[in-house]
Amino acid sequence: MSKKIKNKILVIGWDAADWKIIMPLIEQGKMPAIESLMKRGVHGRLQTLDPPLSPMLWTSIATGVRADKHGIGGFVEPTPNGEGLRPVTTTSRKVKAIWNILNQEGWKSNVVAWWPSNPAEPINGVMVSNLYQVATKALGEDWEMPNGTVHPESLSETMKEFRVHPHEISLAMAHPFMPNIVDNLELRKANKTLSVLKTLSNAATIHSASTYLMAETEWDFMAVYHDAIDHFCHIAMRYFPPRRPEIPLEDFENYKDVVEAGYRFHDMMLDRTLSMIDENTTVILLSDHGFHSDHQRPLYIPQEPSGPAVEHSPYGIFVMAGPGIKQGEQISGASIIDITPTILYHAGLSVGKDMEGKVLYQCFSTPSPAHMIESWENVEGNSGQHDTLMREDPWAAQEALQQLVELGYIEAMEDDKLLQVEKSKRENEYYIARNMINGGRLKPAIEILERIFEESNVLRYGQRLAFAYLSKKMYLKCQEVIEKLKVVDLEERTKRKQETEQSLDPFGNNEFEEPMYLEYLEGLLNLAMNRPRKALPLLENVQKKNPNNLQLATSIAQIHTLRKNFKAAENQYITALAIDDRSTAAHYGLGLSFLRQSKFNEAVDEFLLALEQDFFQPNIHYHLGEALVKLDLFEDAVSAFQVCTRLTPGMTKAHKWLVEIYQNKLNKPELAEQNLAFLKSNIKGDIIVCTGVDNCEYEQLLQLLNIGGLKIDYDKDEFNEASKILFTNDWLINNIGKVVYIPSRNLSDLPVNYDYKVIYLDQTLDEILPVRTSKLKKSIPEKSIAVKMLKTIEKEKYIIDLWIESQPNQQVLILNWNELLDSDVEQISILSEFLNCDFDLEKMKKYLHNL
Amino acid sequence: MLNGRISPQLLILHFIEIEFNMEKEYQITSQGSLGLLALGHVGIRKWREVVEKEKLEIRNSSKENVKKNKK
Repeated sequence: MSKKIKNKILVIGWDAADWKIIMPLIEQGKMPAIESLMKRGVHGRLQTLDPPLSPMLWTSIATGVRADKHGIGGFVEPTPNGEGLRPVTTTSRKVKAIWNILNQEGWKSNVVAWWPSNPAEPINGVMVSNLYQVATKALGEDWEMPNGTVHPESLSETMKEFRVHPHEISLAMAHPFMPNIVDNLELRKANKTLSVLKTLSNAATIHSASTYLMAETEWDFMAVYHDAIDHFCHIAMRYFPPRRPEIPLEDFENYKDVVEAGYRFHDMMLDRTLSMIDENTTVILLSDHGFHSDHQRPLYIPQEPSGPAVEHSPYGIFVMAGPGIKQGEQISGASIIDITPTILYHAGLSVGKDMEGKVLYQCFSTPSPAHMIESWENVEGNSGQHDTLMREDPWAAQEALQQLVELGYIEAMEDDKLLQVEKSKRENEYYIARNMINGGRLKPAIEILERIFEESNVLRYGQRLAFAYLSKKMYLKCQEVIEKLKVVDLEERTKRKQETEQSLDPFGNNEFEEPMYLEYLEGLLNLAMNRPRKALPLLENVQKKNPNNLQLATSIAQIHTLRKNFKAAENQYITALAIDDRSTAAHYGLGLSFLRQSKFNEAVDEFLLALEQDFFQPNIHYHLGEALVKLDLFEDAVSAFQVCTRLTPGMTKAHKWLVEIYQNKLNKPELAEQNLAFLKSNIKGDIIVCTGVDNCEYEQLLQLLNIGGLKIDYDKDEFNEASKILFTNDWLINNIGKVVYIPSRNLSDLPVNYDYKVIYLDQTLDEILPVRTSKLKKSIPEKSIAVKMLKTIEKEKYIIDLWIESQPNQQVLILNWNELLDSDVEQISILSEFLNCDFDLEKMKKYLHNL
Repeated sequence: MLNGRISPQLLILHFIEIEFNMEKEYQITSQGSLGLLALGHVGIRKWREVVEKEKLEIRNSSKENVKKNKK
């Protein structure tokens, strides 16, 4: 393929950068460089992957695939002899990175400190590895660089010059981070202070290497990775204002400025970097995840490998500016795995079909469809990858490991190194399994988790296994794991309690150490199994102890939604938004609660807010359309449904709405016809649904239809299948053209790829109440029970009304049982016409008379 | 606040408006500044030149002191 270079591309990575910190600083005029970049380009949130661990994420950013495909599972990997650990290396990466692809296409690349990039790959350009900045000796001693730090090797001596040693950081440089450092000698010696200085020196080192390479080498593509924001935040986010009660005042005063100073220093570096490129260079600034900086800051750090990742938030930052990029616009729906496909597209190159990310077309002024190829892995040419496994200096690697230990990312080495290697291998597999779950590959993830949980009894492996079973709808297996977890958990708690009774460290073990995950799991299991009454108290109990958990609030809201208690759902979604006002799920859920309470304007507002966060959510567009229909804004509703059908072409219910609007509201029969044609080719078949409140006379109705001539394989057990509709709707396919009974509570679970003719057997309270009371032993129920029954019946009727109202183009016949009994053949004829059946009216009449 | 230990010029280079124009004269001291670090390789080179110069001056002045004392 020929070289299609139009402009240079510069990618700058700021690990853990978060808009929640950046936006207020921009408003105060403290981050002018990023502000100017945003103005001349697009910006938005960048969704991370699970688990939010940087080596895994930055490799996904550079490859467009998840960890099970790219091979970088965590922070460490075994040394080739298997007797120790070392930081992850480039030799473990199984696929080509963006710079390898560009290399094949004749691009010249510089890559600085990407994680992982040691040993440096032999690309056409310069690669400075992630071990470059790590100081291994005291200031003044011979500070050698490990083998493989710089490619080409001939540049090594030059690059050494730009390294800044932590002990070179002066008081003047440290002052903005820790103003008290000038007068406080104790503060200067504190470990935390040294960590801040080390992080600052590393950032300065990476930045100088990059400015040197930008100025002194020819390049077409450049990628620079800074880990300093993540490190500053892990060291000092707990001291970031406002001060929380558990933070000692003195520590707060000493370290409260570290995070802000770190961000502002990055803005200064960005300013310098931007001053070194011309307007034809495309700049992408991004982070792999965010960092909780408000009330969502965790109260404790789990004492486990990668425990500090609990401080990470799920959205990072994304800014893209340059030729062909829109200006000043906000984009949504971007994920870190979209970066490589987007760069390839922008460079005029093909995108691999095996890449999991998508091209972010929304960034471009005049986008056109990307050219796709099967895989870049099959394209031959000099990719600049290593051809043989290289070994690095184990001592330098050991020093880098120590830094990870200090930050709490990995545990300190145990005496028994082999055991440690074994544990780390399992841990890496655990991360890869989580990453698979994140990508929807549940089966292989479950296989891994079953094995490692069986081998180790590590609680979090079991928890994740239970969640995976839950997602795969393997409820019995999930329940089994929960039972096993209860046993293991009890043993662990007892052991830990004995070990930490004297601990006073607010970030050590305390009552918050136990995240109540067992109740949480059981709650979610019950929710998944459509047992909202059982799920609710479990989750509410967990919420009392974790009031700032967004997931919990939205799960509880979902329960209320399931129970059609929309006011309670509204309250929980409002709670969720107080926790995180950027939550797409909470805005959407709140909108849905409003919609179902007929608060249509409020619903539209919330759906729009949800779409502002994430545009690529077809269900939100669908419900926005529904709300707009209720407001008689039919043109707008059409737009919403059209977006919906573009995002999910098979979404028949959106097409049904379009038919309804074009036919009956906008008088555009030709457009209605187009959508009808689509529906005809996509609807699997017609099913007659009989519904009504519980204990209605549906059995008699079915008998009546059968007598009339409609084929019904009446089997009570089979009809009971309807209650399992949540778990599988495969059985519906066997009922095409037949009648099924669906209880009111399951109506909303009916799949959309069938056409339904609904017979709603409407019975008055007077008719239903005696049937219900007859099930009780007493002939006349107590007043309170009767009132409760009435309320239940009213609610069931409300649910049916709500469902019918929300279905476009639905054919519904409301049939009153007593009317049917009294009306001779009139009602039967209506039924016959509705179902388009040639009923045997006489037989039916006779049946009714005998009842 | 700083008890006169850090020069006002360095404070200017902390976070206040920074011009990345090396032709403009800055008073660089051996303390350096975040502004210098943000300049990248150029800033580090300039700063280290000042540090080396200062070290040399200190060395020379101490040699002279030794000579004077010997006299």
